[in-house]
Amino acid sequence: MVATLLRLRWRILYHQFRRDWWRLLFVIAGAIWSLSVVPGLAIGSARLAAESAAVRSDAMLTLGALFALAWIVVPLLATGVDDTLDPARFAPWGIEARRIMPGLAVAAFTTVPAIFFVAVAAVMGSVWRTDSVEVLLTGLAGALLTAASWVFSARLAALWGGRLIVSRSGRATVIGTVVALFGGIVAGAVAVRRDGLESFIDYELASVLKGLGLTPLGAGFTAPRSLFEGDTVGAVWRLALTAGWAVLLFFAWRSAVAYTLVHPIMRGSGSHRRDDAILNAVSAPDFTGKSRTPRSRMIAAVRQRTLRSWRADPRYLAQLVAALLLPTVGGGMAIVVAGGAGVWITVLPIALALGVGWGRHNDLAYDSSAVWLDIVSGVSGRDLMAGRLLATLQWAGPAVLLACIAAVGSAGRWDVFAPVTATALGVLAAGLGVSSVTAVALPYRVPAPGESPFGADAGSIGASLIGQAVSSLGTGVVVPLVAAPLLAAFMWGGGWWVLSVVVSIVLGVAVAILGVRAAGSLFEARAGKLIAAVS
Amino acid sequence: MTTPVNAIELRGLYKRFGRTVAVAGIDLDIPVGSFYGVLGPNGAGKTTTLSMATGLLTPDAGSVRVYGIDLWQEPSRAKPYLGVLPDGLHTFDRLTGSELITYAGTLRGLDPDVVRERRDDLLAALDLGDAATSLVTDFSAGMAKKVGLACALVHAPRVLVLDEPFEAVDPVSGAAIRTILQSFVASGGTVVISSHVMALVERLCDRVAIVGKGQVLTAGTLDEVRGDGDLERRFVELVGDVADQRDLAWLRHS
Repeated sequence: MVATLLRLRWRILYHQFRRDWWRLLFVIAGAIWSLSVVPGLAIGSARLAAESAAVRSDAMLTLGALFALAWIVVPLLATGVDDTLDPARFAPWGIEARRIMPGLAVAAFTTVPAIFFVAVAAVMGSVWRTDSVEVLLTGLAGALLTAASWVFSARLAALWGGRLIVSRSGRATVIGTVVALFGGIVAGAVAVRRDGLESFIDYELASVLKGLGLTPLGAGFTAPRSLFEGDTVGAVWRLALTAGWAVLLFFAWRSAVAYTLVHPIMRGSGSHRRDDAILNAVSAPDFTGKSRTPRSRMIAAVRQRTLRSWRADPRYLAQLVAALLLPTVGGGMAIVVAGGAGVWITVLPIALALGVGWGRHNDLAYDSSAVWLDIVSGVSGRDLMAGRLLATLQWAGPAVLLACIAAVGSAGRWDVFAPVTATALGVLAAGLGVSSVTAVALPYRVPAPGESPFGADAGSIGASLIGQAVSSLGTGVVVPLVAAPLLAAFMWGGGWWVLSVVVSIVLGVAVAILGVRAAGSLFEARAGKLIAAVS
Repeated sequence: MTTPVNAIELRGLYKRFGRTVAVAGIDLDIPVGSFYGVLGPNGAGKTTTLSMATGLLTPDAGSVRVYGIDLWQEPSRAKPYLGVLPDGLHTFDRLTGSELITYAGTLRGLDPDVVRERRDDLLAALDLGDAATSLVTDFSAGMAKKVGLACALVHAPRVLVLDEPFEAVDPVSGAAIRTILQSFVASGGTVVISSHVMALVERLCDRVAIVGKGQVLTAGTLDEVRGDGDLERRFVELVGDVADQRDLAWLRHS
């Protein structure tokens, strides 16, 4: 069965590469990049090998913890992960999980990232080569066992993540994890502010690393040091803990695969909704209090329908969490490193706005072939794109506003609140305007409704990269214009503060309106090609 | 303005996907007030043709006229005439059945009060009571088909283009749908369906076209097409039988 699954995987890849030959270019590029870092790794390893056992151990531990986190987070946040052997695809064949697991496990180690990181782990373990053979072998065994746990944890995270976000309680768990992560970062920031960065590294970070070395995440990297210091029992139990962890993850993965085989993810939670939210939205008066025109009703219907996706569709929710998580964690870590929040932290809400705006560059594809209903209805493209943009603004606007309050508050600079908020909202509106156009002009395939939000991009990687590049270019041209007056205000003050408020709002709204208009016209012109492009 | 004779006119429709020619120049007239069946084997180009006839797929060549209006030149004028039920496409699956019908009606420009009334009528007529408050993602295939049909009907179009409308639908609901469609045609509406079920087409349709390899092999009234025999025999004559009718002896247990 192992050989069969490996052959199946290679056959699928072969057909994918024949159909979309440029995919192969990216795999080759990834492999070349991986090879290009080998000399750097070798040099780093040689330098580290000359250091003391404590330094080597701590360095391995820190790197190992970062890699462990990356292996869990990246498959969750990034699509395009290899899905050639997605367990759900075996469901119709009636095969038991225990029969396919050996093949899945071996196949998991044949991807470019897995091969690269196993090699990196081997290099990490080899920093003990200047010591006895026993210590070197312990180092290699610990590192390779840890690498196995990275690979298994990634597979497990993708399967569990897809399940978690489907249910309401699961979503609460995800939000709880995000809050806990943020709380940890804030605690780190407080410690840095109180005691300084040096003290933080000497005490708090050291104690975190010491604790990590006793857990399955780091025990494999501290085992050689134990042996080096004559603690054979310590080395043995650390290796055993690492091996046990890898085995545990393997069986947890097997259990998740077994569950996946008989629980298709496409179903909702069986919930019922008595209210017709679309009817309520189109019946309610508009923001001026007047009853809606037919056009306003169409926009309201599209907005309400898209809002439902943001609330209930796991694919949208995954993007929402990613959009909020990345700048939050990044900002938090920056506070830790910088030893407190300065006025620079006001860049955080702008980064959040930029991330949300740019992130919608493939917005239309998430509705997949469901857009047929919009197309056959003959609805105006402008109204459709306006409704979609307003739905994103409805949650992203308050989120950006809250981020502005948090950033300005933590920096203690309420005097810049209005310019920072206006700029962040302007960047959000401009980013959404640009993304509206690329979403229609260059859509690329994403997991279809009901598929795992963490599954692979079913479409061509070439198309996704073109879409992302063009969107980045458009955003890169427009956003600096919106944000430049704020930068000038920070540098020169005076009238720039007022100007930054006016320019960012006017430009942001103008780009959003122009973007919606252009995207709407493009939608109508491309209506007969869109379904083929996104499904 | 005089009412055109044909509800839909297809002229020289052509579509190619890569090296595969899916539709190779189809001409078809679908008269107003007809119940028209489009038949063909798998891969014959039925769905591609209907997609081009309803504005869902741009043709490489040819034209589509709906009540005399060029669909691809003036889509905003032609589309209100059409009610469409495509086969195999997703729909907005995080809405409830009620919300999906309301959404379709609103996009067609209906007033909220009209939408509410028609939505409730359609839910009752198509036996979709339970589906009203459930999310579409939780629907069975038959329920999804019925709510799709409700979306196609909500704006009271002149022409219904339905791709496999009875597929996965239970017999009771099937009978209700037949009654609705027959009544629609009796009142002057036009229905175009694609189907593989010959008995159903013979029972419902007064006109038929058989499509094969992207071309119309024959078209006309039901009697003209089937001649002296039945429709299935005529269908097999035109599209050809399975080339290699191999006996799967290993499948028999006794």
